[in-house]
This record gives sequence, structure tokens and C-alpha cells, in this order.
Amino acid sequence: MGGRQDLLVSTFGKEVSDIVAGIRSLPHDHLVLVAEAALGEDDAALAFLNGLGIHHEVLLVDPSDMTGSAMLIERKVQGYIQKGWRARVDITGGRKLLSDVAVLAALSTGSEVCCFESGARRFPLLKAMGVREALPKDLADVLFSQRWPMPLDDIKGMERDHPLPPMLMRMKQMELVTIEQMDGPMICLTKRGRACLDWMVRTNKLNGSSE
Amino acid sequence: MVAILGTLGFRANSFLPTLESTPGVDKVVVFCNDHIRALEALAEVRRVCSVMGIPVDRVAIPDAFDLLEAAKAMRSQVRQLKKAGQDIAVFNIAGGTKMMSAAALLVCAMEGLNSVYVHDETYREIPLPLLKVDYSQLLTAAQKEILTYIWTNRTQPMTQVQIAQGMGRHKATINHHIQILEDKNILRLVEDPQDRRKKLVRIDDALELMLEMD
Repeated sequence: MGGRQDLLVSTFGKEVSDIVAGIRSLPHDHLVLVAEAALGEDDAALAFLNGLGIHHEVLLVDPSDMTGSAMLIERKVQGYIQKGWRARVDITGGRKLLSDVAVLAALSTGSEVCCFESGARRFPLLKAMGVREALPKDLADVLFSQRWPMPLDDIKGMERDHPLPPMLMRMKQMELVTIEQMDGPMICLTKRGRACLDWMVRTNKLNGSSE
Repeated sequence: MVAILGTLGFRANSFLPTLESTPGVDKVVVFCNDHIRALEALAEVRRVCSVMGIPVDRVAIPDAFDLLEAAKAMRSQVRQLKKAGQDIAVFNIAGGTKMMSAAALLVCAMEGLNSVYVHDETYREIPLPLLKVDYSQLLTAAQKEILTYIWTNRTQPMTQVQIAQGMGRHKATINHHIQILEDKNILRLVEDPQDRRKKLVRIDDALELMLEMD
């Protein structure tokens, strides 16, 4: 034996039945139930899992903070992936916001997304392509290190071979920045740019980095 | 030409904040099913849009609980709009069923669209940190070729030996790539019910969408 171990992450609301199909059809050496509220000792879901002897834990999230919740799940999954586990995320249970948060985490970790609401649906996602992976490091550094908004005239006044203007152009193509008229033309973060920066800042905080 | 897209459920309010916050919108596309309350929400979106002089296209999602079919319909629409030269400003994924919302999120990642969620209670927009992920570029040419062969012949589950024979390749080469694809979760090896000593290669329908098989 000794093959690759499997992690199953299941979103959970109130209905035990929502997690049953995933447990039955997806391999799992460990189950993480993602829930919005703490589950009591006598909770039907825990009784069910204990009865079957399924190794599990409950991960509490607050989906009103979507990014924060997605990051909590991502970190949990990433921890297992780094140990060589394979991860799947079953989004059948819980409310919509919880499922969306789990999809964000799956996209970020390259985990397979599964659901069993209308027959079995499985989306194999390839390798972790979250903000960290999909954003080239040089652009991430610019996003992180610059003060926003940035006067366009400052960029225009730069030397021809300065590395910043072409990087800002690439960021514009990725819709991370846009030009807006304020006191003068300014390079501003788009909503996507702000969301990505927020993700990176929080990741660094969680990792204990000072920057 | 700026379009905004949205999944629509029973509440127009989950979509309207995006209409208000996006400048220069000249087209709205909503995805919703035929539930009477969804159609009422659609009527409300149409009413507001007509006041603003913005046309609304509705794309029907026949089964709002089918993640794959919803994602296919959405991606198809997104590609049509792009082909027509429409700039898609944002995709609001807050409305509709859980599966519609998840499908929209996957399509946003695949197509590189900006996406927002609208909070259930505050109706505040929450931009989501998503960047384009081109899944088809994450595979080698050989892996894609093998997957395409398996996909084309998916009605007849095959063993690795049968795939090697069918493709005219050495068995060891096919085994090597299939091992990698299995490690990536792209395919599964399952016991052949006819002969438990053999393993069949199984793929999911979602590959069609993820790996541009269509």
C-alpha cells in the first residue's frame, strides 16, 4: 500500500445527506468539513462520521469574508498537498457563499471540484493557479510595493529603459490597473487589482511575513 | 461596447449593484432558469435597464443544478460576446443557484473575466481575486494528444494497452503519461468490471470544458 493519500474537503450546512455522496464516491483518508457554525458533540454529521470511523476535522469559516475564508481553506489544503496528498473539494453542502469560497480555494490549490447535486459532476483543475501562481513574480512585486494610485506623469518622466512602465503595461493588459482622471491622470488599481493585492497582503500576514 | 454578465436568482438586488457600479455599460446578459421567481427578478432587471436604456439578453439555464451544463452555457455565451467584439467588464456571480454561481466562477477563471459577488445582506460588491487560468496550456502536447484520443473514444472505456494500440504508441510511453495524468487528477484508473485484473481509464465530462475538447 503506502500510495498517495487523499484529502476530501466538503462544504457543510445543516444536511448530513449533502456530504454523503461525496464520502461514498470520492477517496478520502481525511475529511475536512467546512462549516460556518461550530458543530456540537451531538451533531448528526459528527455522529455519522464517527459512526463510520471517518477521520475528520471541522474548519470554521466566516463566508461574509470571502477572501479570508477561501484563504483558510487554501492553507488547509496546501498543507496536505505539500505532504504529498491529493485534494478534492466537494461543494454540494452549505449555502452558495460557502460553495463559492470553496471553489476559490480549489482554483487556488488546483484541487478537483466535485458536486453531487444533479448527478456526479467532477472538474479536475490543474495545478495550483491562484493569485500567487498566476501572477508573475515581477508584477506581484510591483503590485505589492507601489503606492496606489500613481500619477501617470511620473511614469512618463521615467528613463526609456526603466523596468516599471512595461510592467505597468502588462498589469493593464491583465486588468489589474487602469487609468483614471483624478487631479490629473492616475494609474489606479482595478477591482481585480485590489482583490489580488488584498489576497497577497493577507497571505503574507498569515505566513508571518513583515512585507 | 461594454457588457456586464450575471447569474440571476430570485433577487434582482443581487445583480443591480453591479449595474450601478460599472461605468459605460451598454449591454446586460443574465443567466437564469425558468423558475417563476427568477423570471420576476429578470423582469425587475429589465425594468431598471430599460430606464437606463440598456438592452438585456437572457440566457436560459435549463438545469440550474447542473454545474457542468451551466458552465458550458456560460462559457459559450462569453465566447460569443468576445467574438462579437464585446468587452466584458465583469461577471456578477452572486445570483442563482449554488451550482450556477460556482459554474460562473469557473468560467471567470477559464476566460479571465473580472468577477464580483454581492453580499446577501449589505448588497456590497466584493471583487474576487481571480486571474486567467488556461488549463489547456498546463499540459504537454503528448498529454493533450492522449486525452484527446481518450475523449474521442470515451463511449468505449479502454485499458492503457488498448489506448497504446489505438494510438500506435509504445505501451510504456502511454503508461508513463497516464500515470502523470492520474497524478494530476485528470483521469482515473478504475477496475474493469469484466476482468478485475485490468484497469480502465476513466475521464470526466468536465474535461470537455476544461481542456477545450469541444
